[in-house]
Amino acid sequence: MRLSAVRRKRLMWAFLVLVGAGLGAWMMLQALQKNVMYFYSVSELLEQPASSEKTVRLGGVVAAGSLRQGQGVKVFFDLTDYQKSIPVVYEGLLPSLFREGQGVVATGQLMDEGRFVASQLLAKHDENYMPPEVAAGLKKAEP
Amino acid sequence: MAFLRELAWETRSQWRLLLTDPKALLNPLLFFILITVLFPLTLGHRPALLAEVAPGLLWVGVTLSVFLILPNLFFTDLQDGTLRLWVASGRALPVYVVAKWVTHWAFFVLPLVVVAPLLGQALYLDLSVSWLMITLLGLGSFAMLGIGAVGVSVMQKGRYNPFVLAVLVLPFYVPILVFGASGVSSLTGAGLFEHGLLFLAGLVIFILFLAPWAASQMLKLTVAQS
Amino acid sequence: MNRFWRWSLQWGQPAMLYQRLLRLQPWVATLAIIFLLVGGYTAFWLAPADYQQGEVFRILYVHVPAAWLSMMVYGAMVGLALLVFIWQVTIAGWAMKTFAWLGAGYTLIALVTGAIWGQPTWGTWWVWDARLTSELVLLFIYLGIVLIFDVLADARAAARMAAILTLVGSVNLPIIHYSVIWWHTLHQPPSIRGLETSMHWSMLYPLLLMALAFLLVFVWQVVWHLRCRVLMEARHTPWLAKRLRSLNQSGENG
Repeated sequence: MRLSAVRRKRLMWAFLVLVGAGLGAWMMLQALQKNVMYFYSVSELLEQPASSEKTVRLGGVVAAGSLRQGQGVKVFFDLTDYQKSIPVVYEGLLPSLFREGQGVVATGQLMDEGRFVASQLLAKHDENYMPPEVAAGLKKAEP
Repeated sequence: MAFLRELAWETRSQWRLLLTDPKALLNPLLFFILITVLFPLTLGHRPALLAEVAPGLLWVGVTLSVFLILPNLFFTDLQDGTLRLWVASGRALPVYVVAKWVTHWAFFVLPLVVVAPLLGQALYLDLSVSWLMITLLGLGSFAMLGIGAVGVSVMQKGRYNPFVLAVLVLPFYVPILVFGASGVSSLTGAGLFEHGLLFLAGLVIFILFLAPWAASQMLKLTVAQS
Repeated sequence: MNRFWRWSLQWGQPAMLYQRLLRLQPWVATLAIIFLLVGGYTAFWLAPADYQQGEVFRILYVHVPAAWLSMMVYGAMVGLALLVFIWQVTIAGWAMKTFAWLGAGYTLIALVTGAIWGQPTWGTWWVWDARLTSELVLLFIYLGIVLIFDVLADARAAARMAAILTLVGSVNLPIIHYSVIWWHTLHQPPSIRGLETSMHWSMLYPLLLMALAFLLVFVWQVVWHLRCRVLMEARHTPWLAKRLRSLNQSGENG
């Protein structure tokens, strides 16, 4: 197909713009892959250089059998990602979804002795939805 | 290559135009310094708090200053007919947009970016990171000015409304602010700096290729209307 | 093929468009109401309570369709923007304005219901995670497009400018969709991915019904708005006068 000089030039520019914008977009995606986590997982936080000053968010699952009630509204529990776990202290109101085996995101500081002191606790619900009977049936089916 | 030569020529002439009134660069600079100084005054003398929020404050300060610079880009040319001549002449409008963008950034915004680490000092931010901070702020503000150029070319001088411009432009600043601020705060803490830098560099390239085209389309329509 | 093309192009003529919208409207309206009633009944009475969240989870039957629609409308607007920008279809510009208004509305519904859902389940109304932030940015982009139509007197120029803004803003769409997959967010990942789902069937089918109902309501709104717009724009053209005359005559006869 033969194109007039003007159209050929315009096509060339469109191509150049697409390539340039694509390169930029690719670089941004590269950066996005690893950045802006709303929270760290347990293992990720333990790999970080410890600094008790910094406020971070920690996400994980409340380990089964670790929940203990302290004085008043204080609770102790372990957050785990099924590989490593961190003991957490939290004082305040618990979200209604909070229970053992449930995902939560805690905001607070990792102290030098390895204890995470949370100032805010948010429950993270997962993408599974089922009626209670089905959930009970599933639980029974598991060994 | 003719394109690049034309761009260089146009950039030089725009630069000379700006230099005819050199003290104009003080306006955004003073604005930036003043709003940044307001924060320690209102938040009280709390060094730890100020140091923690300083990157965010500096970024917001630069954003607002850039936002106020936007009307300088095209409005005089719209009013005195220069832009109409450009469109009528058939010369490539993106050349004009890029020249305006680069010169205005170098003239008005670069001084802010250079001053930012010093202001950071007043907010108890560690100065050892100033070069990296200048790099991040420089890339981010350059991208902001490019995005803003697209937004501001929607408006004519008579219909310029800063609130409408804010709704048009500020949403697109969100990723710059998120990555820029987290990049700067990472300088004093755990390292995500390279990601912030990579993201902003990618964004600048992305906008460098798209914004001149988009802005010149908008300008053409604006000129046709006036 | 020829007939199909002619049929598609006729959508661009105000007179034909008006006829078709008028014929379409009762069907769409009836279907929308039926689906809303059936979907609402299944969603709010028949569907069982969730094993974790209890009754609160039912907000999803409003939240998810609204959120889907907020993105689908934007996707459709990208198509309209291309029509405006490349082929300069006037009516696509009219439709864009309607779409932007409605899209902003559905985005707002998604954000508000999400906040109401977040309070009891997460324990907070709002967090600045990637999903919520990018959806908020979507709302602002919609409002920006609405403002362009509002500020500029020349409708044709406004449509072209809004088209450019729509195309530029479309980078946000994949970010919204993939935000919950790429990053750790407080917002959970999607329950439906392609044909796979992590929702029990008894809860899934009301969601699909509600999504269809929302879509139909949206189409209904578009048909209604667009019809009014065609009348507004055509108030000085002969076909409308002719049509009004024929309406009058049939009124006198009947």
